[in-house]
Amino acid sequence: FGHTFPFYAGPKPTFPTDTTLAVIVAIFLTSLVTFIIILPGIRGKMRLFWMLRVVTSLFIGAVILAVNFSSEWSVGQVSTNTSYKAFSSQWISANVGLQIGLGGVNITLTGTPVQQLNETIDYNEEFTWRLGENYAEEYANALEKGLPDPVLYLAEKFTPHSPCGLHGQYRLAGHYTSAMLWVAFLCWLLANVMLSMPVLVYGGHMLLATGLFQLLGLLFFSTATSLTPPCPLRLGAATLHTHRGPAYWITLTTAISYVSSGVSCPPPRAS
Amino acid sequence: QNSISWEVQRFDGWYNNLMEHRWGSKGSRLQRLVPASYADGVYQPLGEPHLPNPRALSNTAMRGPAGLASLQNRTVLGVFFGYHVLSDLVSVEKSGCPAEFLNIHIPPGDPVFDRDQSGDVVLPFQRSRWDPETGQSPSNPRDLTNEVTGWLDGSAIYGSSHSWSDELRSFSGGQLASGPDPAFPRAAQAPLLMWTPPDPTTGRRGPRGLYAFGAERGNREPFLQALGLLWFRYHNLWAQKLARRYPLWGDEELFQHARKRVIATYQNIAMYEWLPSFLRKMPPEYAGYRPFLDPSISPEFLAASEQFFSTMVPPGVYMRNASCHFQGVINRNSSVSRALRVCNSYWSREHPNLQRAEDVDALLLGMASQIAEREDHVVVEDVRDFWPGPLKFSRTDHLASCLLRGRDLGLPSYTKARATLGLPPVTRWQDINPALSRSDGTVLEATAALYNQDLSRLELLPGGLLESHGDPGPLFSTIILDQFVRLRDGDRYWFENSKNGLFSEREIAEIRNTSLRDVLVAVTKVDSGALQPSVFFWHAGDPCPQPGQLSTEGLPACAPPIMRDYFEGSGFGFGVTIGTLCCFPLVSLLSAWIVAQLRRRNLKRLQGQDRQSIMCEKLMGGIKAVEWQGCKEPCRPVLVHLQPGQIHMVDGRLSVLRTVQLRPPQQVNLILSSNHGRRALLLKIPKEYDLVLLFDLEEERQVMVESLRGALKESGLNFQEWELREQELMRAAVTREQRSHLLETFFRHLFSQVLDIDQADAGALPLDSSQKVQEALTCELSRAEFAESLGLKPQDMFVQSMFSLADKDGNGYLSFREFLDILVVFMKGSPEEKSRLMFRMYDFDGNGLISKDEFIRMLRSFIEISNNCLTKTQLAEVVESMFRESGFQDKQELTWEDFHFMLRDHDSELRFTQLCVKGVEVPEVIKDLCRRASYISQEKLCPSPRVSARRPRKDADIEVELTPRRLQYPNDTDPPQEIRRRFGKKVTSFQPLLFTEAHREKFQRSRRHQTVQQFKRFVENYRRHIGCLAVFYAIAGGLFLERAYYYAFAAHHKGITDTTRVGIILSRGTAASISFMFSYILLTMCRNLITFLRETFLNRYVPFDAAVDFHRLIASTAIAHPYPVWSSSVLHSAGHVVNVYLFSISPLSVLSCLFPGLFHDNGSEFPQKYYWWFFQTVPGLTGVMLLLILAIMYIFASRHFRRCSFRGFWLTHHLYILLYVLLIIHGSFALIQLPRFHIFFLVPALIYVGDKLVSLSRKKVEISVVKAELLPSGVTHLEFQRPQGFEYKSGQWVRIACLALGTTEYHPFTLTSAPHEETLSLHIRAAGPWTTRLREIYSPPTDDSCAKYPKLYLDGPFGEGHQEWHKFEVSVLVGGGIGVTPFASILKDLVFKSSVSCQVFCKKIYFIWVTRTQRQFEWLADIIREVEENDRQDLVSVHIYITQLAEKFDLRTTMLYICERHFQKVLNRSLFTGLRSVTHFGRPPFEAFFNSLQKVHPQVRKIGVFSCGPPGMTKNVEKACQLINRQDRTHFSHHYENF
Ligand SMILES: Cc1cc2nc3c(=O)[nH]c(=O)nc-3n(C[C@H](O)[C@H](O)[C@H](O)COP(=O)(O)OP(=O)(O)OC[C@H]3O[C@@H](n4cnc5c(N)ncnc54)[C@H](O)[C@@H]3O)c2cc1C
Ligand SMILES: NC(=O)C1=CN([C@@H]2O[C@H](COP(=O)(O)OP(=O)(O)OC[C@H]3O[C@@H](n4cnc5c(N)ncnc54)[C@H](OP(=O)(O)O)[C@@H]3O)[C@@H](O)[C@H]2O)C=CC1
Ligand code: HEM
Ligand code: HEM
Ligand SMILES: [Ca+2]
Ligand SMILES: [Ca+2]
Ligand code: NA
Ligand code: NA
Repeated sequence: FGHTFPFYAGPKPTFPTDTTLAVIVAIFLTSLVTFIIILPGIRGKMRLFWMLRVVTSLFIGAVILAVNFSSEWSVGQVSTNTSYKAFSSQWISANVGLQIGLGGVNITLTGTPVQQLNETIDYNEEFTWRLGENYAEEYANALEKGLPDPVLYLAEKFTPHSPCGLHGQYRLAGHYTSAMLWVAFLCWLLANVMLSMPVLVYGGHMLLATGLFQLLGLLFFSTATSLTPPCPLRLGAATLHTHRGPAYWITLTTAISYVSSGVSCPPPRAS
Repeated sequence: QNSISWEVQRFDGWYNNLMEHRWGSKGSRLQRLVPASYADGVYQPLGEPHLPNPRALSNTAMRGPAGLASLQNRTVLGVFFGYHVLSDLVSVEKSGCPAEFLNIHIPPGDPVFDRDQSGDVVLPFQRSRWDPETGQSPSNPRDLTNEVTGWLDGSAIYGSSHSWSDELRSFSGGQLASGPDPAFPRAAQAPLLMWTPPDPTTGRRGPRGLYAFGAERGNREPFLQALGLLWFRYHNLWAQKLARRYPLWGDEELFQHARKRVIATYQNIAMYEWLPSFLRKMPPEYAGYRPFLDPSISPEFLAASEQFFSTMVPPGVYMRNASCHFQGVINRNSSVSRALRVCNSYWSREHPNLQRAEDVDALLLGMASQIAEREDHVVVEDVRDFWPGPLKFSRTDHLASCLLRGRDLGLPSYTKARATLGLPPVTRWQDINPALSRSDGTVLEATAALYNQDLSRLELLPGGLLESHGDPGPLFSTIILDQFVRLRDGDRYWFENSKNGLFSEREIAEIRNTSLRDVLVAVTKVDSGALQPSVFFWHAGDPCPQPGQLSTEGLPACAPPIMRDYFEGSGFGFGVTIGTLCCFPLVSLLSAWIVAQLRRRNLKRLQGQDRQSIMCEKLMGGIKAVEWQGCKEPCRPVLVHLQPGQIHMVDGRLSVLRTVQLRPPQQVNLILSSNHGRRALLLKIPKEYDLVLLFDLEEERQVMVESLRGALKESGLNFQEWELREQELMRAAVTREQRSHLLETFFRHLFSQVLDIDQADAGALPLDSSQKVQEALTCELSRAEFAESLGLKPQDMFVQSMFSLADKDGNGYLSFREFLDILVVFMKGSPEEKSRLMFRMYDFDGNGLISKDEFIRMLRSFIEISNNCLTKTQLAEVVESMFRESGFQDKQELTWEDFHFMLRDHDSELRFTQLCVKGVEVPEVIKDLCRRASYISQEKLCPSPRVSARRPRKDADIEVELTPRRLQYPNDTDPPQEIRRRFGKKVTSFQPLLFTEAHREKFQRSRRHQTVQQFKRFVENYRRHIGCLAVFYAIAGGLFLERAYYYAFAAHHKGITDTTRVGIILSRGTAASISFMFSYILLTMCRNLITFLRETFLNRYVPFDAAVDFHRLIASTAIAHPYPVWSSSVLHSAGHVVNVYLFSISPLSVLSCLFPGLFHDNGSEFPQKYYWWFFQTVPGLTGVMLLLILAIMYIFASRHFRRCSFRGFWLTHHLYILLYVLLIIHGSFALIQLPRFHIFFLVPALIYVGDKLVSLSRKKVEISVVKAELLPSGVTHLEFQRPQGFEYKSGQWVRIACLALGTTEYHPFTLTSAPHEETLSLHIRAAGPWTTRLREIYSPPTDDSCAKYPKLYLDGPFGEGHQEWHKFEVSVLVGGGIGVTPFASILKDLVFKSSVSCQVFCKKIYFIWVTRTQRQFEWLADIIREVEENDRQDLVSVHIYITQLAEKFDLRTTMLYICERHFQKVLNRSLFTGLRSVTHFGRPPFEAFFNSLQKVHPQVRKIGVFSCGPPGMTKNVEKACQLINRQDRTHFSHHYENF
């Protein structure tokens, strides 16, 4: 290797996607694989039925969990020119993204092009307001760390005593929506247990409960986040508007599907 | 191309300095010039007595009349411009967390604050927010933080954060947002924005009428507001100008360009126009940006500037128009005055005089013309006495507050500050201000007196003020000048710093010569002529001189201070709320009572119907009533029929409950109740126990009384009638229970000798009511009653024969006297008397002769007792042969002499314990009967009749005179066994004898000993229960203490402890223990898990069978134990009620510290009302609901209610699901701390759900009852058909639910049927509500209508039922107390298996039954008899040990004792129980028994011992086995069976 020490040069490798999402997918893939291994043990027609059931139920579980940790509940994206950093009057043109999840917010800044002012402008900063976390402290650290201006601007909007009041609103919404989703996850677990037991009808009820709790969570999120008037998010000349993100829609669709499947379950036989 | 070419200055002051990014930023520390001086050197402020009382100092050093003009003619505009600049640079008014208070104790008699001379007025003063990293140790004492940007950057105009400025902007045309009138900014609506305290004059609250400014407190007075409005208009002016010049620019560009310009102008005026006007000298010329200069604001500057402005504040402010007309001002009370009174305009909303833009202009112009107050130590009362008060007081002393703020800041003393700032030292008080000491020396002397002449203690603030005379003193000037110079030179964005690219040189020059007047002219419609060039001074010749120096005359008086009571008007409501919470239990009690009444009514209706339907066909004229059987016994509905000479009582199923004979010459008493609706009736009939009847209505009772009178007259009885109160009536009645108890006591007295106890210990006869004793003795036992008290079935032969024998007068009742006689005869009568007694006993038709068939019946009664193994024909043959042998073959009847002759040979035998049938070659069958009866060797005990007959009579030594006097044998061993061995009676062959003598404890009369014994017994039996309870409550207590410790000592950073000390400790502590208790209560109801675990070794440590009791106990301690005082939920709620009260009287500044997420301190000061806490917060609302649910659950789950309506209990009990949901939500809001309940709840909940799933998937079998028999002592024998495929091992148990008693209430019972039998049988003792109701439901219907029994749900079988006893050649089964139930099935199974298949390995089984009394176990005696019958190979040898102390014997045990000891056995069976096994009285001698067992079975290597019963007993068995095993001969392997 000549005189240089081998591995110290070059950019540090970073994990491409969101880590929690990766963990969830990993868990469910392994359980799927283990099931496939034991699949040959089941004979004939039942094999297909079981395969179908396990895949769908694992998928449902993965969705509920992933959605809970995802930060794609309320998203917004704007491409604009903004000031970039302290001690420089240069402006950059960049895409500023805002992904508001249940436990916090992700602010992304990607330069268009990424290489500007001979720097790579590609930031994704997370600020959490989950129970037990201290958002104000995280913002103070970000200020001290010296993050780019647009990131600090958006982060400041969500600080506890910022005039818009976004912090209290999203913290409450995130807290109780996440709680509802956890309950939905528990109902899903129970539904699986019951469906594998000779109590099919209760399993159906549990599926229905899973869907209802998800709907309840969605209702809570949308009402809680629309209490106060919209907060001005001005980046340079452009304004950033947020709208419901993919996580919201996925939850809505899965919820409706469970509710319908739960309702269509065989009516409880006269016990 | 972007027109913003310069680096836009951040709003929060960050990243101004390249090296120190934090300098001047919002939230950064104040930078001290002089080291801090705190009392403890770290953060405790100095105070009295070291420093004077602030109010006293203010009254002495700063009091004086208003109206002294500024010596330099400074204008009021300059003062309020100064306040505006100060609000841009520093703000430390946000109160700190956790809240700390320095209170101003008002000296008694203070004219403003203590008008009614009470002397105890205290003005609260809250310390400000500090940097948490400071103030913990001496080298880094506490530093306060600056709430705004320290830079002179127009933060008072644009706000100190980007999001604050966004709220002020309109985002169109670069302008700041305006309200309806473009000259005024938007209203301060956003809740988190402006400071909105109540108006001290009018008391008006809320944000309406206040404007949104950059400075949070910009609305303090209209005069400061005017400055804010000035700059607001100036910004919009520039934005419009730029928009016109550069139409292409967007809103952002216009805004930033305008902002840059406004800030520059602001900097210029403040630095180069305003500051010189105050210091009367120009700051040094700008020499360029100095990046290494620390510009931070110093606490000394804050104190100096604040003080200096306050001395110049006038009592009022003129308003004038451009043409120098000074307008009048309309006051609140519509009077007109010369100027706006300052003290009445603090925080004023929608002031009548300042509605329009022109009014603001007038105010600005007025201020430009008005001369400020003199720059001296005097401060006007508007500031000194009537400053708006922050807490509870509408007014406060601003000077005293600033003094305390100085002490809060830890400001140095005056002399120390001067020294550090290089000013010449001051040694004498006069030197502070020579001019002042000359003109008015008293002020300095008075101040010196307050500091008791110690100049070194003089504080910075009063010193600075006293220094100033016409100009700020040298100290204040130095501090102020130094601060502004540093602010200018250290600021990268200073407008003159050409390197920051903000302005060109031209623009800088242009800005340098813009004065405030130019700004005023630009924003108001006034031309420059109306204003003097330098608006900070007003010199003669300047336009519009002020009419006169304003003083307090001619101005309205200041509104006096008022005390704000946050709790005003809510006292009553609070009391009512607590009241409702407290009577939740009462409400649910009421609803429970209503439900009970409803149930009782429709129950009666139900019974009424089916009685009507049956009644009509059968007997007419029955009267409905309820029989009262005693205060503890349940009342039972009955139907009373009056027949001639008889009262007939029938129950709902028309089965006869009781018949009362009415025969003359009995004297009957009829007593009627005189109160409680006069519905009770007591009938006292001699010889009978009393009859008490309760009716629904008095009329019904009247009908009964009439018919009674009629019936009694008919049967010729005279009776008396009188009235008693119902309570006395009930007390006078002798119930059946009392009478049988009386009888038992009486028997013990009688047989005290025989029972080897002395009379005194035989139990106390109620001597108080001797009349009652007489009655009891004269009363007579009916046949059914006699059977019941002996624990036998009425149709038992023993009962029949004894009854017929004893009932001399044949009246169908056994008088006490009659019963006594035969007993005595049995015990001490001579052989003749005994055989005459036997003769009379079997002379059924009483004709003095025994016919052949009567003889047969006699034999059958003996044989039947031994389970009639002889058929009728065999018996006839036996009798024929006996008659033939005695030569009476032709006699049809025997006289007594014949009878005695037949038995003659055996009179000696009559003396011994065997009554064998005399004479005839006893047929093989009977011999066989004898043989099997013996339990060891055949020959010894029951020698063939022939052999025993020959024994010579005069064998004196064994002549035992069975007389009632004490028998000579060691009292702790039972006699017969002992006699043979002790006296060496030669037995045919030497057979080692089993030692089975019981060890009888002596009766200890001393009360103390008895209680100690009882306690020891209790601990021994309930050791496991006590252990588990101790662990459980230790954990709950530990959790409580942990939280209590945390909130008492470790949570000071939260500050909640100081607010509600006891309340929070109590509520959080109990919350933790509740979380634990309510979570782990679920484990007690995991029935399948418990069923599984009770089979494991754990059962030795955890009493799984007591799960239900444990459940009730936890629930009651978690909810409201009978002593509600210490139950957790009630305590928790009480703790929070205290918290709610304290929260609703704490100011918002304290609450915003305690609940940062919930409250933001915006100065509105008033906390939320109590009802907000209770009903509008998540924990509050759910808490109240929880209380309601718990009240309902607790009341409906009480034992009494469960008895009368199980459905009601079961329905309300399922509220537990809602309870848990609410509990999770309850803590979810994290109001005080993170929720922890779910951590406790998760594990037990998952286990419980799993358990429920298991029971969901178990299929319940519905079976019908084949036979139901009511056995004595409240035992119900149920036989039901065995579901097909139901396999079980002996000793296992099942859970049954009765459809009539609720399909979900299951109870466990051990199967007493053996696996080979085709039906299943249970013996159920009436223990509690369910089992008692079961007995009522299955009481036998009248014979003809076979009313169907309600069906049962069967679940099971449960229990390991391990069967090792087959593996042992010899095994010993030890059953103790209720632990004996499983052995019934085991014994039957053993006998069946051994008789059927010979491969069963075991040869001999010893069954030892240890029980205190046979009450409720009589049925076991029947089963043992059955076992003895089927036991062909003499496999089972049974020993019964009654361990009840003789002094406590009940009637049955007394009879048993007498028969066993003194009465002849019939065919080697006890005449009383018919059992061949011997009954001992005392505890079994396990060691001795095991020892003798080795001798009896020397060839057996291993003996299996299986014990089941109270832990004490099984422990003794274990000890005995270990002892024997140590001698390593036969090995006794002991198994704890757990059925
Ligand atoms: C393994 C086992 C075998 C039993 N075998 C017999 C038997 O053969 N004959 C017999 O008469 N009794 C037997 N019992 C006791 C019988 O279950 C109780 O007496 C009966 O459940 C009392 O119910 P209750 O509502 O009438 O009385 P309650 O007043 O409700 O209770 C009285 C006592 O019974 C216990 N108990 C109440 N409900 C239950 C329950 N669901 N599960 C367990 N314990 C309960 C409580 O510990 C309480 O101390 C057995 C109990 C167990 C655990
Ligand atoms: N482990 C198991 O499987 C079972 C245990 N039990 C337990 O039995 C306990 C009480 O039942 P209960 O019927 O009231 O029992 P009792 O208290 O009525 O005692 C039953 C018999 O055992 C005798 N006995 C008690 N302790 C000793 C001892 N140390 N040595 C010799 N004999 C002794 C008693 O004699 P004395 O009167 O002289 O004390 C009595 O004759 C309960 O706690 C129950 O949990 C019940 C059923 C099954
Ligand atoms: C003083 C108060 C209470 C009493 C006297 C009481 C008594 C009882 C009784 C007798 C049973 C029926 C046991 C059986 O026959 O199987 C029962 C069941 C139960 N109780 Fe309680 N209880 C009380 C309070 C509570 C509380 C506060 C909770 C929950 C927080 C609770 C939860 C349960 C549960 C879960 C069951 C089982 C229900 C089922 O099996 O479906 N109980 N209780
Ligand atoms: C007037 C009635 C009540 C009031 C005002 C009240 C109030 C509160 C409050 C303010 C808390 C703290 C919650 C937090 O920190 O977020 C709390 C916690 C708690 N309370 Fe109550 N409560 C009441 C009644 C009850 C009752 C009846 C129960 C029992 C069933 C109960 C059980 C609990 C538990 C278990 C917690 C701890 C929750 C956790 O840590 O997750 N409370 N209560
Ligand atoms: Ca009689
Ligand atoms: Ca006769
Ligand atoms: Na500032
Ligand atoms: Na003054």
